[in-house]
Amino acid sequence: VEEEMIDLLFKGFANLFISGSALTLLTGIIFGIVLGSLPGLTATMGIALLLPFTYTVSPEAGLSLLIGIFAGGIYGGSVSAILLKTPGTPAAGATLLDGYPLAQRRNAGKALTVATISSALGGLIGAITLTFLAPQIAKVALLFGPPEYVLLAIYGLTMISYVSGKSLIKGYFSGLFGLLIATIGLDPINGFPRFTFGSLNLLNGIALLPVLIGLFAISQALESTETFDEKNTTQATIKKLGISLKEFIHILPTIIKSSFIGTFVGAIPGTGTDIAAFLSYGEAKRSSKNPEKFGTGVIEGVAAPEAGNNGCVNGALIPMFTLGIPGEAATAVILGGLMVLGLQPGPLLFKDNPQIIYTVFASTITSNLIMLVLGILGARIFAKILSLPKNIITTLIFVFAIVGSYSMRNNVFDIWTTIIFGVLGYFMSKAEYPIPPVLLGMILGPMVESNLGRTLLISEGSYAIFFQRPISLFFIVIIVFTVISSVRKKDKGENPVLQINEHSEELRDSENGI
Amino acid sequence: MKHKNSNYVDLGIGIFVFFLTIYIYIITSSYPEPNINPVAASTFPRLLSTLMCIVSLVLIYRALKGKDSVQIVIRNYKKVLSIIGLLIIYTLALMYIGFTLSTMVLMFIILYLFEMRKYRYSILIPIIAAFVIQYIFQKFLNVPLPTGIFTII
Repeated sequence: VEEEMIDLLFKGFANLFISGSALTLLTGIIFGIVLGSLPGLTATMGIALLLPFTYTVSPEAGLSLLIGIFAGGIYGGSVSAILLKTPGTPAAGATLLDGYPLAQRRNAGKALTVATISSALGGLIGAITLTFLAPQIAKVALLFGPPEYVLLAIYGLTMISYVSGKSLIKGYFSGLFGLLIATIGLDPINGFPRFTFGSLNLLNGIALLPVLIGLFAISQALESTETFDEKNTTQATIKKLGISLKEFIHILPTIIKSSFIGTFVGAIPGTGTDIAAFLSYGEAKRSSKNPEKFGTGVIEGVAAPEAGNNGCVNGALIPMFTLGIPGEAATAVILGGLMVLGLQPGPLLFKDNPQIIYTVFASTITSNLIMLVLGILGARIFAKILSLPKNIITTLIFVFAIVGSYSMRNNVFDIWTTIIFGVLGYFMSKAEYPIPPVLLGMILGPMVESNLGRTLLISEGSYAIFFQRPISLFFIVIIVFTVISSVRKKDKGENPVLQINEHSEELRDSENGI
Repeated sequence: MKHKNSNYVDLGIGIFVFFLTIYIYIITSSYPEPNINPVAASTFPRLLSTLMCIVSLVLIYRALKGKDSVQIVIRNYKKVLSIIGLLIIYTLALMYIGFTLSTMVLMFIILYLFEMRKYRYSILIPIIAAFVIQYIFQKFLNVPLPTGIFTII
């Protein structure tokens, strides 16, 4: 079995070049780094914007593009965290704690090098874990029947509690909103048109792609509009790149530990790259001999979150590919991309399309090597990106978002969907209604409904079937546990990400003299 | 700057959604009864709207108690609203005057709203961008963009 896997992986590497995936991967990484390093533009937005381009190339090339943006975007966030003291993506929130003090002491080049090496190694460890662990999980998942899928999707929905920010009830609201949106169109069991109001466009339901582009590109661009007149903060300059071998050996244990923390955190649905980064930082600080030095500009403080968040990128792909459960926003968008490409995520993907999946694995492994080379050679160029005129980019995003949503079906209706969800998403996040749960609801809703139909057909209408199967019983226990623990945690206000965000905002405010 | 008390925002949303869930219940009551499969067309939407109804009531309760109060602050709200309006006009314009010209005009106006006063750039950038985007989508992706009376290529 092991031999077969290695063989498939080698074929995947070969296919990486044959299918043109290497090229789309490189494009994705560059695009990701550019978007990720610009504050306000995120990897998720980049994935949504480039989704329309994926179905003109082979599925593996399309997926490589999306994964490249994800990895590049999370890495790119560190550039602005170090040089501008503003995390380019939330995942780089912990990086600035030590990255910026380093830059202030004229060590920006060193901080960037550490970030690059840590991201690449973290990503590599994550990618290798993904490659060897995912097929095993998929094998177990092949045993799942409709009842297990119902519960798996419900388990995915309970993750809303973790991605919902401050208010649990608002998270549930967003999730139910997404679930209800997904009921529009022909119902999956009886084929009866629901909530279509006689519109032919609504018969197939609200398409996922325009919703994604609206929620993650238009609403973000509207948010950037608010700050169009904000002056760029002064940027730290890069004196000298590179670190010594001694320094590398010094941070290596931190990198390895953080990579595994990140990968593991990523593999649990409902967590995200920002949580992975923070937990890695916290653990590095806790186990350090001089924890008090953290925050003053130590290189381990840059290495830990960067290794953690890129490890998480690959860890997060594990449940997405094997079970079809997105862990957070970016993987949810990639999952949407899989569906747009006509691939059904889940264990069958491994059975039916091993070539695609192993090319994708090859691509995740390669992406880190590309990132390492680009990050070291291109550091000065990427630093220049930060002074790109943000307003011109925002303007282009509006146009790209609209044309992109039109391009899927050459349908103006999809543009309206994009605009409506863009405006809705913008106002929802203003009122602190989280956006990722909407997506979870839209993706997992149909999975719950159609499998519930199948389950009850098997059991002739009896719900007892859920309690008679060992795996489904196991899921019920997990679901109950997750719900109870999330409610209890919210009450105590324990949320590491919120704390770190508040911390970094305080830092920024004190700098700006607010 | 626009300030609003979020209690009213959540209260408004809660009340609106509460009535929406009742509306969903009413529409789904005319859906066909389950025949072979116990899960009818109305089963899942009804389950969801029941849950949503509970959530909206909790939301209303919390809003009245003044919990989770957030202030909605929209900086430069006139520009944000103008851009939303522009996007709507742009979509309508796409169908009548085609992609090229409407995109150039849209970009020029947005750049103007962003206080780009170097006209060399605010005229050149939209022209170049419109042609480049059109080229990418039409030649590379094979997606025909909407044409109209002013379509140049």
